[in-house]
Amino acid sequence: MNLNTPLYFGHALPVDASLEQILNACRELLCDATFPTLRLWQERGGKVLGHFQVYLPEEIAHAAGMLTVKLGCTTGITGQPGSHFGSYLCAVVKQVFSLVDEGRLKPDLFVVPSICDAARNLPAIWSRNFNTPCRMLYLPQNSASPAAARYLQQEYAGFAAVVSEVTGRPLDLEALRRSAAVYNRNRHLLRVLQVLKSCEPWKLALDECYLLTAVGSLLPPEEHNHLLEQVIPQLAVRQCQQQDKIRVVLCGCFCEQPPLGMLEAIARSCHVVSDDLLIGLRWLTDDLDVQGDPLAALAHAYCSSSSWSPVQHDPHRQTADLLLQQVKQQGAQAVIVTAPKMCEPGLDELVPALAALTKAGIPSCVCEFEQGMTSFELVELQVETFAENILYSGELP
Amino acid sequence: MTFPAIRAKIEATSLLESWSERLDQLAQQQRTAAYAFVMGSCAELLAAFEIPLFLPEINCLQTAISGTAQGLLQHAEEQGYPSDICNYLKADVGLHLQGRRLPHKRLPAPCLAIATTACNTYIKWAEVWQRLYDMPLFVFDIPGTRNPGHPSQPGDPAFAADLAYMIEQLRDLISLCERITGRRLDPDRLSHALDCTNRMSRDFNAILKLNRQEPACFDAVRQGGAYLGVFNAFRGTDAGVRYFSNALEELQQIRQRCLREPVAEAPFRLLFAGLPCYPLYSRFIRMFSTQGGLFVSSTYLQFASGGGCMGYQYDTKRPVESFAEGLLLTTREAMDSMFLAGDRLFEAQAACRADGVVFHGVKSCRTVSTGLADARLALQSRSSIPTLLLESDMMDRRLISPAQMQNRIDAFFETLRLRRKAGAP
Ligand code: SF4
Ligand code: SF4
Repeated sequence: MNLNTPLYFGHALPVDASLEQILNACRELLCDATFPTLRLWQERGGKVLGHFQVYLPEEIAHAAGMLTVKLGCTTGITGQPGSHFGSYLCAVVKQVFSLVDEGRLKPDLFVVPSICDAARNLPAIWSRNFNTPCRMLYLPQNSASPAAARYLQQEYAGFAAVVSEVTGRPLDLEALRRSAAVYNRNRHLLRVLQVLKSCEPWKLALDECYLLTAVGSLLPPEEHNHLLEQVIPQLAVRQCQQQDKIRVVLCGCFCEQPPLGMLEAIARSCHVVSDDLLIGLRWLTDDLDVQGDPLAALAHAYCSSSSWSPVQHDPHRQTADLLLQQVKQQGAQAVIVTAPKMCEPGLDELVPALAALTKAGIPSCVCEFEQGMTSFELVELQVETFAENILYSGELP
Repeated sequence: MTFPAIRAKIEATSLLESWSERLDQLAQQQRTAAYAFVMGSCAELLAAFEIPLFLPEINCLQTAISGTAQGLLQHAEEQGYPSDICNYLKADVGLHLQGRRLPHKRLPAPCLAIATTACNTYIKWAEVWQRLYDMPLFVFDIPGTRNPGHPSQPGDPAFAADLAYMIEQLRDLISLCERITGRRLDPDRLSHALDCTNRMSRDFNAILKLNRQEPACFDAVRQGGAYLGVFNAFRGTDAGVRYFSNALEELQQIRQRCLREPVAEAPFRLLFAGLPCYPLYSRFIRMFSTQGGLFVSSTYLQFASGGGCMGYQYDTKRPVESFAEGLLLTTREAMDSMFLAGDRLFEAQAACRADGVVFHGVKSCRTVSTGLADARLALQSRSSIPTLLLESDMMDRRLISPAQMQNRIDAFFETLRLRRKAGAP
């Protein structure tokens, strides 16, 4: 079986597809609860690694020939976790469990980074209910410690050992270097998309950018790169009328993802010029050095050149300050602060974020969300009113 | 059901009062304390530096028992803190926002906070203090079990890697304490503190083992709470050693008395999984005891003692390395007793010969509660032992429905009685 044949782009989607066709296909793929790309990969004899949010060094599994899937990115798909969970949990934890429990997802390995207290319970729950192996990845929270990078390198080596047990392929440093280069390219292209959204937001709406990014969670990175390489030039020349919308930063979407309907509702009133949607895919902010020891490079990059989110403590940077910086850099007029329902780390950040914004005189609006919500009228009205207040405040007598 | 451990109760109350008074004094003198959490408090290191220790979780649960928590929660909510976060954190924020004053005591400001990764919310909580006081915050990474049921062990390369990271972090923390206090670590003092904790842990462990046999000598939720309070607030101290030695002696006497004067009807031996319902602390326990239920064991004792009740013994001849290793092993044990409760309960209920298992999930603690419902299903799939799942909170009365709780407890006891009548093992 040839694992290099396209799973989607060039398979379900023509290679010369137009931008609209690509966007539609991305939407279809993300809303398809049968996970066609994963199925096809497994039918071809490939192994799938499912991992939980927020960040995982996918390069390690990719180098061993696995398809890595970031779970919890699919949209409009909920599940029935039955009596396995109490009522006080965020939806993404329940969704991931249900998708596997209902047999819709069949990863060969499940890895959970230790992002929060709810997620840290997942490996035990998983191992009680499913036979596929699972592992917790303890990413350092004390990343300021000089020992953190060394520790993390060992942790990644442990992760690589589990991958090799599943694939039967020992860690190959040369393959890992090649994978790192593929992911460097992927992160670069995602950054280009972000820059485009910031500089010419009328050409790329929030929901469209999300679709183009999120499909990366269901495709091999080479194929995602190909798709982005096809799309970016088309976006650059896209003919769109500039609209009178406010420039906003959207934060709070680092883990559970808002439903597409909510992103569309926001996009109708605002140009979202920066956001933390699927921040894990762009977690490393610089290219990895692919010359030396790639495990060491991955560990070093995590500790020294990474993005930020409420699940990662950073002794040198407070989340609220980073948010203000982002607003300034992006020339944003306002911030939409979201938080998934029942998300401890996200909700814990609400007060400091809002306090910092108020102190700096930056208008903000809070929208709570849940992955499975289906009605967006209220959010739409809230954001529309918020945007209008800002747009027309200058015209008041 | 069993004879009350009166001396241990009186001594625990007096010790915990003295702890509160000391904190109040520090606050009055404008002096500071280190803030830390029960899972990985680093109490022995702080004792070696004579840095007073404040444990906010103990303070929070005391406010819940005394009824002052509700006002603190509301105060924090008025400042925008959402309803769905950890209510320990929220009540504590309420306390700080109202000037660290409670009706009968004040609390010192922090000079340092230590947050281990035993619970990720510890970090978010400590970040709040950092924003309020701008004091140093030391986040102590303590890696847990990667593969459920297969923790790395001393001697494994994976354990050695974790331990090396722990030792380096500990050295950083020692440097930080040296900067704060202006003096070098005295290894003899650390050894002494570790020796005290060794003796406390050994006796605590022996106390827990007493209840494995029949007759049980104490209630693991009621008296267990007192043992926990003293263990956490006084670890590393001579006062703690005396307390546990006396408590063990008293329980051994109670056990002898129980053997001499057996009760007419043996209690239903219950295993408790989760966090206690502090706002209704006594009432909650009475809901069980009045029907003949006695909690003989609890997962709470394991994780809330930071794994300290497992009886781990530090090697006092190499205090720094052994402290790091002990912190790794005991805190990992605490994490496992929360995250892997479902895998351990089958053996745990057999070990303590429980007639039933009570799961208490609290809305505001995902660390402990996320896996409880599934743990119950797992236990039910392996055993016919009756189980009860209750949901309420450990701080917020608004989330507790006593009538509903009582109904479910009644039905649970009905099952237990029927089983006993039918001669169930
Ligand atoms: S949404 Fe929040 S609570 Fe849920 S898994 Fe993600 S970080 Fe944890
Ligand atoms: S989440 Fe649970 S374990 Fe963590 S601080 Fe809150 S009550 Fe304690």
